[in-house]
Formats: sequence, structure tokens, C-alpha cells
Amino acid sequence: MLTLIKGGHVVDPASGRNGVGDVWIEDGRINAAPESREPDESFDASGCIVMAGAIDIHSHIGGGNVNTARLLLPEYHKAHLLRPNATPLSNLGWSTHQTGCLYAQMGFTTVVEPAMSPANALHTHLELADIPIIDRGTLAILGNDDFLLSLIRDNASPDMIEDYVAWTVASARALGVKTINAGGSAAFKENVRTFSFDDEVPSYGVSSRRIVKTLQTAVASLGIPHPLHVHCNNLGVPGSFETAATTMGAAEGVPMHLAHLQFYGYGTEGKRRFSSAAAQLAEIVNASPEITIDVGQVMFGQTVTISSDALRQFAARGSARPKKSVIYDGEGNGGGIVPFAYKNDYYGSLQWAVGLELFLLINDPWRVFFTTDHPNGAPFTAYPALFKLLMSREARREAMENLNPQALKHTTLGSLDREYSLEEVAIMTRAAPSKLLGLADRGHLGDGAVADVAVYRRDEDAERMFGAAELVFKNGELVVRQGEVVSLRPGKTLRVATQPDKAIVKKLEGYHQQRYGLSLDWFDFPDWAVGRDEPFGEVPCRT
Amino acid sequence: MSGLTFTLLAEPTQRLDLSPLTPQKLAGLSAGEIEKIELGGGGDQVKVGDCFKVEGSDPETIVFEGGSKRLDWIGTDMEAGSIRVTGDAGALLGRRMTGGSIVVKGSVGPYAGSQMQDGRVEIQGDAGDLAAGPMAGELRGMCGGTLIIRGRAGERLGDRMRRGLVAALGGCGDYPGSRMIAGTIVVAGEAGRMPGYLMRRGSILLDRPPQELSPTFIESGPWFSAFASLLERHLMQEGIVDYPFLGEGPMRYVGDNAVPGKGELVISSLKV
Amino acid sequence: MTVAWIGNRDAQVPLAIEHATALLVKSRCPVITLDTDVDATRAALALARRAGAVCDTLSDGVRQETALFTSSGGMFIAPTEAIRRADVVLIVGTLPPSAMEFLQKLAQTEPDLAGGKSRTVFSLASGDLPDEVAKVARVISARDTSVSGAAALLRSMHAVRRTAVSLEGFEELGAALAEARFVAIVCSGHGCDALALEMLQGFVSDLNTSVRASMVLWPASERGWGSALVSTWNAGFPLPVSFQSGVAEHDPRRFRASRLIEEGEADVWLHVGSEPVSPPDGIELIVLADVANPIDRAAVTIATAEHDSVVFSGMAGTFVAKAAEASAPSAASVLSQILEQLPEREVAPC
Ligand SMILES: [Zn+2]
Repeated sequence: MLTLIKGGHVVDPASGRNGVGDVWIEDGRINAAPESREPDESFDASGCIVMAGAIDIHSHIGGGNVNTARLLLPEYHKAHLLRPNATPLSNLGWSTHQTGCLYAQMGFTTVVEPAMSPANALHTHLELADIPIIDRGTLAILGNDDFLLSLIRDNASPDMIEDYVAWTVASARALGVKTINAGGSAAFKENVRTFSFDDEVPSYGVSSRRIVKTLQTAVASLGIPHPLHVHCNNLGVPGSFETAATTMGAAEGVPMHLAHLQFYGYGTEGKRRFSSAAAQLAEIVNASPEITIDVGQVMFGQTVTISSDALRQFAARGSARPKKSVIYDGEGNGGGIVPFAYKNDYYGSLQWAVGLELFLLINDPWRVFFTTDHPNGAPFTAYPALFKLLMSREARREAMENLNPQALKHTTLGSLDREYSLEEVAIMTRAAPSKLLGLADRGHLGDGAVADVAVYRRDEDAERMFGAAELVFKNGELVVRQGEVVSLRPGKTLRVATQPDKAIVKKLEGYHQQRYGLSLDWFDFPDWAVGRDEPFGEVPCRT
Repeated sequence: MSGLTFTLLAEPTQRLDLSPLTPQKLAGLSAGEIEKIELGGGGDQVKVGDCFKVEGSDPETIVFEGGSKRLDWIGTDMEAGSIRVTGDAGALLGRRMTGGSIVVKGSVGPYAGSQMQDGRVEIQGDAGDLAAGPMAGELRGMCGGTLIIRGRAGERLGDRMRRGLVAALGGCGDYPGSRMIAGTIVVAGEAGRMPGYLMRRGSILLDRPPQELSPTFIESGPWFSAFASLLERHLMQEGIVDYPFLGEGPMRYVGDNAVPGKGELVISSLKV
Repeated sequence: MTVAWIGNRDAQVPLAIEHATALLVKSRCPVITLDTDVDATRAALALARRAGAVCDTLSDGVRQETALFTSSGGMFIAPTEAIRRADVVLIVGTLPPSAMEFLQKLAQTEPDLAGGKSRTVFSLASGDLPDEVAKVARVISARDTSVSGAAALLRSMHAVRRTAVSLEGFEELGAALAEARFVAIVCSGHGCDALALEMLQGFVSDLNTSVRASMVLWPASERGWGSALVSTWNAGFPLPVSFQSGVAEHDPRRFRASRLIEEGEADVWLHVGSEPVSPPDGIELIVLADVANPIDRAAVTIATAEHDSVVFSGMAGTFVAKAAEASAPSAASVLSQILEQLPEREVAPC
């Protein structure tokens, strides 16, 4: 079957295309040179922008903690009200079904759930498999688990650590590795309440820095395409920009990704000792080519924070709104679910501005990624409004009129005139994620790419334009037409194919028998358990 | 012309959502328009005219002639006027109402007066669980107004209540006033276990000892508060009770000390 | 050998499925009760959506556990982590039989992540414990106070606030709590209702002002809790969830299956799971279960078996895969076949 998307303005940074032209799809792939054949079906894209399907690198869409958030907040589900009304979280993508549909409607076709506890991997994959239309990927969390901390304490060889990381990625079916407040959750279990980069986990004498460096090295040596994904210590704390700066300094030329940098962009100036340090952080990012970041933009309204940073979430319990929360001490990593409402008061205004400063002050769109850390900064349904803020300084000025002027004084936002071009948006949400995650087959419209295509009706108002795509194709199949979902095809979960060594499996078997009295099978699962035909798609390691 | 009467044609075969039928929402509508209003709640699309014979014209005074346990959400968000149900009603009677009055001749399902703000609800029969309580997940129960249950109330009467007056005159199930934050609950008749469990503030008045009293309520002597006689007088004036139902020298307990709370549990020994 | 029955008569499975479908088609208020694996729950939810049915569990304990999450949340710890870390364990209320192996592990092992400290186990209102546990557990007694009262006493006495009576043996517990590395409160909706669990969470929260503490919440029904979690991600709500009005709704009172069945609101009852069930008059019962004989008074019984399946495990604190082979069809496949035969119905997605 040959499909033609005709006469749209094609924006494909990977190939340098930026002008009116055609895009051809055949058998689920882009066909760059269909010769002079007649298409079987044709879509008129004149007046439209045509891009590859967008890729979200960091959005909490499934797994134990996400499901616990649903369990905690039934009153925010739209159907809880008598006549489904717009409640603050009603468009949050609450069920797996909604998640897939809402992402597809915005032209997103691949989304990465960034925080899978390996002990909970099967649960995560069961949920991801129930999200229709889009492809998913997920990062395995390491860095608070006794096995790794013990290896580091005992000065295990780099090979042994690499084997363990490889086994974890393989058995958890992960796309990469994330570390979350490395050592912090383990320390919290030992009653430590604050934890910084050079603090040590008491029982191990191992610092957060050492954990991060160990994992960063292992991920790089294994050739896992996505660099270590780091959620730094001290999230949300005034002065945490120093933690982020120190962490970036520790990258030492080796690739490292810092998640939701906005939540670390805080200095301690002003009367409230809470100011923007975005400019300092942006300067470091600009000067460090090995660093990539995503923003974790805050938008106003009710949301729920979902994080595996149990230490931080425990500290945030008091600010829960509504007043309920869940804190979980899991194996290795746990988590915390704390509902929160961002208001346009001093603190909320400042957080909002810090995110935008990072977007606008980091020069290279290949190294700054578009996220709200869904749902921590805002639900992903706020993306269209955020695109508008990035693409229009006028929209930002208008928004700032309703915000706390004292807070804005402690930022540089008012002086920033930059406006993202469509090409920069396409880099940030398509081409760059493809490169960052090692997903060579998507994020662009080159020959042979997976035919994930988003077609937007051109509109001066970027929020309207990106809110409801005119057409979306997933693997060449039409899934959205005029903003409405027309097909609920199943997607795949993308995993990196690491090859764990036999010896580590034996060692782990012994460890689990001895420590839990349980066989290693309890901590692994066969593919059939996901309950879908061919649930996984494989992504190769770099060689 | 008199009030607006909805006569139930037959026992409904599915739950019906009657929230559109309040004085405010019906104001200015013709009988024909009212008959076309869709009632959600069950599987089939049902219109008012399919279930009710509609007579009269003044929506300030609404009567549901006949009744059923399947008539949910009666008087939701009602602001003023009156609703009378001549039989039973279903769940969520008077949910979030801010004014006006509702009288139900029969018994009602769970969550009667849920999150009501003001106004008056009187149920002449029994009420289900969580009368004056929140729905699942919500952190606030009743926030004002008066809820009178002449029959027996179910479990967790006044759960998470914040303000207002609740009276159950035919007793109640377990945990009346659970997690109560403020307000007043009056129970005449047999009360179940653990009144005031996890309560912070507010008053629960019982005309006899409950089935089980939590050991985290501490006796603090006879109740001599000026509030006592004031409250009894108010209850009599309002026609809620027709006798000084606490009698002489009821005992006062303070708790729930586990929380810690400063609520009071007043128990008369009149009906031991 | 695949077996099914229509009433008491043997029937071919396809015929039984046809009969079950016909009952659901003409039903005004179908109810599906589940205590089952992930795939069967997924299939039952899809079926409920199409049939406008209510899905629920028959486990009252799961309902209590769900209510704890929806109304207040709390602090929880994975059972396996508690085994390795908890030096002070307090069992409160009775636990279901599925928890006994876990309790034995707690009683018979020492924590390896508790800085060298050994484990002390206390119990409060826990009924009969396995011998290995009873042998080592220090019993705190609340005498004739109910478990909710005992939980309130525990919290109050730990905070040194006045109480009308005292817990016997609290002093030793109080001393252990003050010195603890990690306290695990072990309980379940099986033995504690939602308010007692909330009280215990208040206690956990109090403890965390000075030491680390958390709760092992052992599900009253492992499969029932698993079904509730699957419903939570699929429909956005835990059980019970109703699709009667076209959108998913959660209400533990209006849609409680046992109420719908007892009060005659439901007219067809489809049960997927192994608990014994018996229909009241006027309701058509369809049972999918691992049985050798037809269920008494059921309209349709289909013998199903768990094949390779995924179920919730209390010990793992999450879902685990269980490989198995069987000749009888899986409940999921039977449910899917019923779904395929049901006519389309307009239902809004959740
Ligand atoms: Zn995140």
C-alpha cells in the first residue's frame, strides 16, 4: 500500500528539509523515492505542517507509582463527577486508554516512561502494553539497590558492574538506565532526611557521586545508546542549582542526561530566599557538549507529583493538596505520590519562569528536551500551551501579566526575546530525541524510517496548531484525523538488547536465594507475561 | 398554577440521574421541554417523559410522586425552592445543595446530604451509609445546613463533616462522626460502634451509650455547657425532636485522643 | 477435556458461551465479580464496558484496602524489603492465609540490612498465628477492645496521650520502637477495616518523626487486589467500577457487587474466580472457575483453568508470572469469546 501526504510544508531537521513537498509511505515505512508510481491513497496536506511523529523522552505514563496516583485520586477522574466536567486533572491522561489517545491527538507517537523500578518491571510493562496507538520505552532505575551499592562498596570490577547493569536492562526490558537521587532512597531507609552529591549512604560508605559515576561509566561501556539519565539530589530545594552544577561537572566529558533541570534552577536570593538560577545552569549546559537536559516545565493548575525520589517526596508531604499522599519504600527504589496545585503565587511564578528561561537560554535545541516531567510540572496535555509560550514572546508577555511580579524580578525571563522556530521545535521533539535514545528508525522522515507522521493545520496560534493534529500516522496507519482518534492499533515497547553474562545470573541467583529466600524467577518474567503478541521492539546497542 | 409534579410511571429498570430536575435548572422551561430532558445513570438513554408524567408549572416547588431507590442525585446543587419525594429516593440526595429544602417520605440510599453547604434535608425513613459524608476520595463531608433522618442512618454518619447539623432519630450504624472536623451530630436511638473515631473537633450527642466506645475518648465529667440547652432548644424549635432528649447531666468525653482531637462526645444515660 | 454446564446438564463450551452471552444481552444490570489473573481482568473489563456492567471483587478486605488509598494514602513498604530491613515488626489484626509464609519468614530470619540488629516481632489482636510466629511473638493485648480500638490505643499510647484503658505489654514495644532502625507494621484489610488502617497509618506517620517506619499492607485477596490494580489503570478507577452509564464510575457503595446481588438490582451475575458463590432468587449466575461439577443453581458453569498467567503476589508486592499448562480454557479466552458475540454498544472511553 502506497500512501501520499501531498503538498504540506515538510519540516524534517534530520534531512534538512524545510519547505513544501510530499511524503510517501509504503508498508509502514517512509519511502523517499516512490519513482513515478500512483499512490493507493492520498492526503492533501496543503496549508499544513508535516513532521515526523513526536517523541517524548520523559513522561510518567505507567507503572506502580503512576497507578498508585490513580488509586489515590479517584475524585479527580472526570467521570467521578455526575456529568463529566472539566476538572483540573480531567485531561491528565488518567487511564492507559486516554494516555495513548491524548498523545496521538497531539502528534506524539513514541513516549518514554522514565522511572521503572526493576522489581516492578512486569507491572510497568503490563500497563505500557495497555496504552494504545503509541510506542513506549522505559528506563530502569538503579542506584539505590543493595546489590549495586554492595558491589561499589566492595570495589567490584567494572566488568562485574557492567554485567549487572546489562542483566537489569535485559530482564526489565528497559531502553536505558536512570538513577534517581542516587543513594538517597537507600539513605532515607536509614533515617537520613537530606542527601547531597557527596554524602554517603551510611551502611555502605558510598557517595552519590560514586554511584552516578559508576553507572555513567557502565552505561557508556555497554553501548546503551541513551546516556545515564540522572535525577539529581536535592530536587526542589532552594540552592539546588549548586547540586545540579556539581553533578554536571562530574560528567567529565562522558555523556550524561539531567532530568527536569527546572526543578534545580533555584538560588537563594531575595527576601524569600528563592530565586532563579536558570541563567547559571544554562551557561554550564551551553559550555558542556556532553550534557543534555530536559526541562520539566511547570504550568499552573492541579496536578500530582509522582517520583521515585522517596526522600524528597516524604519531605513534600506537608504541601500535599489535597492533603493525602503515598510514600513507598520499595526494593531498591520506592517512590512518593504527592498531589500538588501550582498557583501563580511567588513560588509558582518563579518555577514557571525558570523552566522557560532554560528553554530560551540553552542555545542548542539538540540538547534541551521538551518535557513537563508529566505529571510533575504539569500534565502532558499542557504541551500545546507550552509550545505557544516558546514560539511567541507576546504570549509570554501576556502570561506574565497574571503572575507574581516580585518573582519575575528574580528571573531574566522579561529580557528574553527568543522565539522557537518550527524547525527548532522539530529538532527538540523529533530529531534530537531520536539521537538521544538511539532510535534511528524514527524522529525523522528519511527513507526507511518508521512512518510515524504528524500533520498539523498551520495556525498562527501554536497552541491550537499542536493541540489537535490534522492527521497522524503510526507505522503508516492513519490513527488520528482532524484531532479525533480513528484507530486503536497496539504499539510496542522499545527495549535495548543487552547481553548479560551467565556468571552474573548465577551470582544474582545466589544473592536472591540468600537474601530473600526466593528464586531469581521472582525478579524476572517471560515475554508472554505481558499478554500481547510481540510486545517488544528491539533497539540495538552502539558498537 | 401549582408546583411541578413528576409522577413516576413505573419502577425504573435502571438507576436514574435526576440532577437536572432542580428548581434552578427547570426555571423557564415548558412541560414539553422538561419531558425531553435526558436522564443519565443507566445503560439506556432515557428522557423525563419516558419515566414520569409531568404536571404543573412552578419549578420552585417540585414533587416526585411515587419514589424508588433508583432515583439518584435528587436536588444536586439545588440553590432554593423545595423538593418533596412521596416515596423512597436513591443515592446522593441533596448532594452539594446550597439552599432550599428537600423532604423524602420514604427511605434513601447512601450519601444523603453529601457535601451539602446549606439548606434543609429531611428524610422520614432510613438513610444509607455515609449520610452527610464525602464520596470516595473526597476530603470533605457536609459543610453546612441541616440533615434530619427520622429513621435509622447507616455507617459513618457525618464522615469528614465540617459544619452543620445532622440528626438521626432512629439510631445509626458504626462509626458515626468518623474523621469529623467540626459540626454537630445528634443521634437518638441505638448507635453502633466507635462514635467519633479519628475525629478532630465537633460534637456528637447520643441519647444512650453506643455499642462500643473507643478507649481513646476520655471522660471529662458531666456536660454543663451552655451549648447544651441552646442546642436542645434549637432542636425542639426546629421540630427535630419534641422532648429534651439528653435529659439531666449527660457525660462528656473528649477525643479522639489518638489523632489527637478535641472533639466532644456527649452521652446521656437516660436510655441505658 | 473441556467441560461446561447449562444448569446441571453437560454442555459443549461453545454452547455454554452462547447461552451466557444471551443472558448478558438481555440483562438490564449485569454484574461481574473478579478474583483473577491480569488477562482475565483485562477481558472482564472489556466485556463490562460493552455490556454496561459493574465489575467488582467479592473480597470485603480488598474494599477496605482500596478505601485506605482513596481516602488518605499512607506509607508502605514492600514485603521483601521488610524482611531485609525491619528490626521491629508489629502484626496488627488477623492476616489472610496467604500471608502465613511471609510471617514465618519474618519470624525465622534476621534482617541483613538493619545494621546488625536482630528482629523482634510483636502482635496485637492477630488471632491464631502459625506456630513459628507464635513462638517468638510478644503479644500486646487490648483485652476485649476491637481491633479499631486497639489501633487507636497504640497510636495514643505511643504519643503519651491519655486513654481509658491500656494495652498490656506496651512498655516493651514502646522501648523497641524508640530504638528501632526500621519498624514494619504488618496488617491487612482482612483483619482491619479502612478506618483502622487509616488509624495505623497515622501511627506510622507519628513514628516517622523520629525513626523510620512503614506498613506492609498484605492484600486480603491477592487476586482480588490484582484485579483492582488492573481496573485502576484500565478504567482509571479501582473496583468497583461501573460502566452502566456509559462512562466508568467508581463508587464503593452504589456499585458494590454484593449489594447489587442481594438487593435484586442485578439480574445477571458473572463470577470469575474460585470462591464459592450461591445466587439469590431471581438472578442468573454464570461461573467461570476451576471446577469439576456445575455450581449449584448456576445458569451456566464453565470449567476454566489458569494457564500461563500473571497474578498479584503478596510476597513480591507486585505482579508475577506463573507458568502452567491446562486443557481447560482460560477465563480470559472464555470472556473474550463472550465479548466477541456481544453486540456493539456506544460507550465513551475512560
Ligand atoms: Zn520524572
